[in-house]
Amino acid sequence: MDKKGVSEKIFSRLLLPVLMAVVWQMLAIYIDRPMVLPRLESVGKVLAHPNTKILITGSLIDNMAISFVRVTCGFFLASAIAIPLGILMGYYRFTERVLELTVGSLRPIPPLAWTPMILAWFGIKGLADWFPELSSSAFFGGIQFSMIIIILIGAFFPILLNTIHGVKGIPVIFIESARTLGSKSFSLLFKVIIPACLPSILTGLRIGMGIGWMCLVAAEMMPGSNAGLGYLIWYAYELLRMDIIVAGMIVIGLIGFIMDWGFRYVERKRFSWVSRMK
Amino acid sequence: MLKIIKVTKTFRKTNGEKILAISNMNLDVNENEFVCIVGASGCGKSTTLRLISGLDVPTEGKIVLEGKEIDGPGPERGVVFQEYTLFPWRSVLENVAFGLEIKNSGKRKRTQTAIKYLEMVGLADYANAYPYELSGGMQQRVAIIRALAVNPKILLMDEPFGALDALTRDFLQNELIRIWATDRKTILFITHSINEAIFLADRVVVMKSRPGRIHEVIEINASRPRDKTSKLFKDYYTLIHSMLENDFDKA
Repeated sequence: MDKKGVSEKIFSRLLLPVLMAVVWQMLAIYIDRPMVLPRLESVGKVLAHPNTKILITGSLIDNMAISFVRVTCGFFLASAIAIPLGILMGYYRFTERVLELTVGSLRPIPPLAWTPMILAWFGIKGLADWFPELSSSAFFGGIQFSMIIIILIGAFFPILLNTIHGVKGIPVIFIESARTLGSKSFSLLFKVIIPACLPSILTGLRIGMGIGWMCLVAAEMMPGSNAGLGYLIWYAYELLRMDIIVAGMIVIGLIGFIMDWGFRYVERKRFSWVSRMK
Repeated sequence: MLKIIKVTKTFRKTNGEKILAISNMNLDVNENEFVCIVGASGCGKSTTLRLISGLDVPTEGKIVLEGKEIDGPGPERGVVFQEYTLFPWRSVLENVAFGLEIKNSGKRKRTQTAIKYLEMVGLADYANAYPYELSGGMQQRVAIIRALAVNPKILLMDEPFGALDALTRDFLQNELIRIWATDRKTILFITHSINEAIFLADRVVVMKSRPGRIHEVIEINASRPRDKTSKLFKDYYTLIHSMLENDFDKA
């Protein structure tokens, strides 16, 4: 691609964010109350020094890392349950019949609605309660079961539904021709069914990761939480530090964007056959 | 080598009505023979092939391959379908090697075998391409060698050239005869094209519908390659066409 094409692409991508920033800055100067709308430079200052300790909750980087670990744990647990279950539900009518009503009526419940019950069950217990040696670790010491479960619930359903959809969407003719080539149960599962619905599973993972990340702030508001981006935002609110709140929001948005982009990159590179199937 | 013995197949429609797809069918296919089944849509020719492949089960009667009654699909009966069935997530080479992979033969050996077959149909250059990069005719050639690579005893083909244009179809008919001459497989080929059946087969099985049954088996006594414009060819065509006339109208 020529240079002009590249700069044009960059320009069209950045146009709107830059415009928004300009309008924001003008408003911030006009209102002139940092507790209502902070100026860009004060938000920029928070973002530009991600290693400085903010308040008592550690630096921006620390909180990012903690949040990331939490979402990753919830996300992996959700995948580990949802993908096998989705394959079973998509492939065997029986499993689907047994689970359809339950899954279908649990799904519309917002992850947040689970909070009171999850707190009643797990309280503020975390990994550190089982492994005391972890309590000094910033990463694992701060992981409460209740947080992980909220994130898990958020990520679970999109992964499950997309897996089911993927398995059901496999043309019967693929399965039949594999069987005529000698493929049975295990090889059919691992060499035909899973590869054929992998693109669908990946879409589910992408959406699940997005929703899991969105559940983070809610999870980090739970009692016993003492770190993480969600906690940072609420803590900053109590101190009326709008600049930290906005910086935290920007970081959450950007990390979400990067993760989504990563998933779409894999989709494009590994599964280009999907869009070209005749 | 393949015996279809008193086979009947009934389907039940969603409203409970029974349909007799095949009624009391008997057929013997000999080793190395090329047999075509020709008939109008709905005469049970595809059902017959599905029964032999083991993807469906006869309601009555049995099908025996080399003394063993057929019970489910198996790699000793290779199948080529009309639809494009190459696995889109696998390269051409990996597709051809699929059956050998299931058989657990070593990676080097199955790659060698796959390459050998790809060379046989002139597609070795496409080994690392993906199915969507191939034309319909190329895809069907790969589907044929994918079935052949596991060295089946019989090759079952269900209108494999039905979705292709006339020129590609002609080309692939010649290809198939060439492959059959080298590989010496027994082939059972389903088609609704009388011309295709006469061009390919040692024997043409004419099926009629309602209920699906064998009407006549005609031996084609003409040397290969066959000339579709010859008088003999046209005589065979007229003969078979007259048998099927009513059926084609109904379909």
